[in-house]
Amino acid sequence: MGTGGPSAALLAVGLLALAAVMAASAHGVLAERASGGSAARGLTRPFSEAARLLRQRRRATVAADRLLWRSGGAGLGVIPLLMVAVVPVGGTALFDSAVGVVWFNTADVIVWALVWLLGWGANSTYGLVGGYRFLAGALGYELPLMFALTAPAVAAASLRVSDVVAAQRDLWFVVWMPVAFVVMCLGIAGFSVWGPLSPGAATDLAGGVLAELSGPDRLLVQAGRYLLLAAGSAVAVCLFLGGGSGPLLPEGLWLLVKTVVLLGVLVVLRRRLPLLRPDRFLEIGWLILLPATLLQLLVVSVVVVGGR
Amino acid sequence: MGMTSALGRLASRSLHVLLVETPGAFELRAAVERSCRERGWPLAVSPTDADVVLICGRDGDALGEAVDAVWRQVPGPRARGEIRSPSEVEATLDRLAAVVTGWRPEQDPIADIGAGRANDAGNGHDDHHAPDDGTDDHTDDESDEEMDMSGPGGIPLASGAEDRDGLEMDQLHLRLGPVLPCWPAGLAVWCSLQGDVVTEIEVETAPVGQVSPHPSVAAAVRLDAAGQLLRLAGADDLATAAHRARDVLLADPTGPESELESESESANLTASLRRRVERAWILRWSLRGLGVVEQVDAADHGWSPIWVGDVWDRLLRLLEPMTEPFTPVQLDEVAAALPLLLPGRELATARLVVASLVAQQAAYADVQALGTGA
Repeated sequence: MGTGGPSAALLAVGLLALAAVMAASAHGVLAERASGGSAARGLTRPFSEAARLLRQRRRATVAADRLLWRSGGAGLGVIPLLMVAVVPVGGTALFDSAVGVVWFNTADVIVWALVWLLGWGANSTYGLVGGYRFLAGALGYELPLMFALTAPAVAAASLRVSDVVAAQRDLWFVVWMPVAFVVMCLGIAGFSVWGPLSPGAATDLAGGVLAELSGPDRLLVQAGRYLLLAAGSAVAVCLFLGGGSGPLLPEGLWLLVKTVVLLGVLVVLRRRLPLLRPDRFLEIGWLILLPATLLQLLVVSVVVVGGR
Repeated sequence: MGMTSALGRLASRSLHVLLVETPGAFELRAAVERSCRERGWPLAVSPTDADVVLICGRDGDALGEAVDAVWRQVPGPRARGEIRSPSEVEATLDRLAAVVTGWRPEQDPIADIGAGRANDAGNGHDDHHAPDDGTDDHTDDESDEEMDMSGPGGIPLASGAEDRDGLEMDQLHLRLGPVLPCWPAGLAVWCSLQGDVVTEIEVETAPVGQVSPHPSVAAAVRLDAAGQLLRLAGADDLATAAHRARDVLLADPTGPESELESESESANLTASLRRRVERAWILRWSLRGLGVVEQVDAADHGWSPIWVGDVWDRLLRLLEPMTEPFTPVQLDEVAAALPLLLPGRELATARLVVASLVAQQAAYADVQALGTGA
């Protein structure tokens, strides 16, 4: 495993963007199907929305904290790139760090600050309430997610993502770490401020942290959310679904296929679930997910120690 | 130019529409929502999210101000219109789409903001918007110091009050309605918030307009209310299903037979929707125990027994087939009950509670109209 150059970077970013657009299109198709519209319209939904936001005038609230507000939005576009940097594509990762799993975890925790800044910076009640509501929800998914991330690392005896992929040559980790995988998927939706885990940007708060965003600022945040979803899925594929390993096809293609399939599953689930409001979700997060993840970690540790 | 117009054409395929329903214009709003859905135009959730602001029904003076406040928050490209009869829907939407597509920023400058216009929000937003060309950051800051209101941008600083635990905590003021998606027409609630908790409210109501006493309209009002509640709960597909069932009921009846057909079709859709909602156990878990009205309290305060239970109970009740007329609840009764039901709840929860209560009001007011009409 080596560290890739500019061409690898371009490839990784291109694949990430492709996966994100596919997820957004899939979501558009499912939404159109529910309202009886044509699949073609749903498929092109991400493009018409992007065109709309590109034309839209940038508007700000009075006494908005513009620097922090826009850092929040821009940061959401950068974090997914940091996440895919540790994903090995076709034998090389952009940044094949020895602590890749921790790197990924750090990146997803930065999202806490960014989303809150989005809410704070707008200087509007809905934004602020949305920002705090996001943090409340994040308390529910983040701790289980942290422990879920340690399970594959313990099994592979390494925090390097490419080592974790290599350790799954015989058996994908999802097979014996299903709980950690499910928690990981919830965490992905959580840090993408997306679907059932988007209490901070929900309709009942008039869009929450998104309520005052317009034009390119909004486009950046919306794109960032789907990029986060795609980047999170790519990392989940590496940690639990064997990464790029598979017969016939080249490694990079397998990684893309698996990521897109996982994204598809997430999109389908999202249409079926209501919003998980933090006051309820915290119960699940702390009373069910956290103990279950710790139990999962215990099982993994015992298996690893016993197998030596 | 070619690029710009191509972008405009692409953008016009998903215009976001903010609907303003005046009291009594339920059928009109439903017709517009239907048309938007068929065009693939999403309904805006906030003014900033909107391209088109569309007033359904007569534009009352009080509402006019609220609509102006909302309009100032729409970034543009934007268009604003009014619809008074269902026959105008398609033409008006086409016209507004053309306005948005051909929009030029120089023709529609953002109005300069007045100083210290705190709490002048139509949609519950702090209504303070500055033109943003990225260069005026400093002027904003400088002018702050000259203002009387001492707060940034002329907004008065938050005042404090004791919170639930008796500690001093800042208070924010937020107005919900009268222009707010998934919110009943004719209702405005001034909230004092500490954090996201509603501490005190004041309610204003507009006179209730006349909704057609036709039975299928009464049933449609209930489905509409269920759809709005589901939308707020984040169950988008179920909400869309409820609104599609509503639109089948309201479809233009060309003869008595087709009306019967649409009623039975809608009954089937409603029954299947109810089964889907009953099976949605996560939704149930999320709405159970919210906004509980005890039997005793209802009796004490003279509230309608139809409110007894939680938000989930009331949602299911909206999806039951309409059988017998119930004691009607007036919007004024809702207004009287809200100060007892909302304080102490989170902002988002308060919205779910309002949606669940007023929905019943609309439904049963209609049933009464039926009873007196017959």
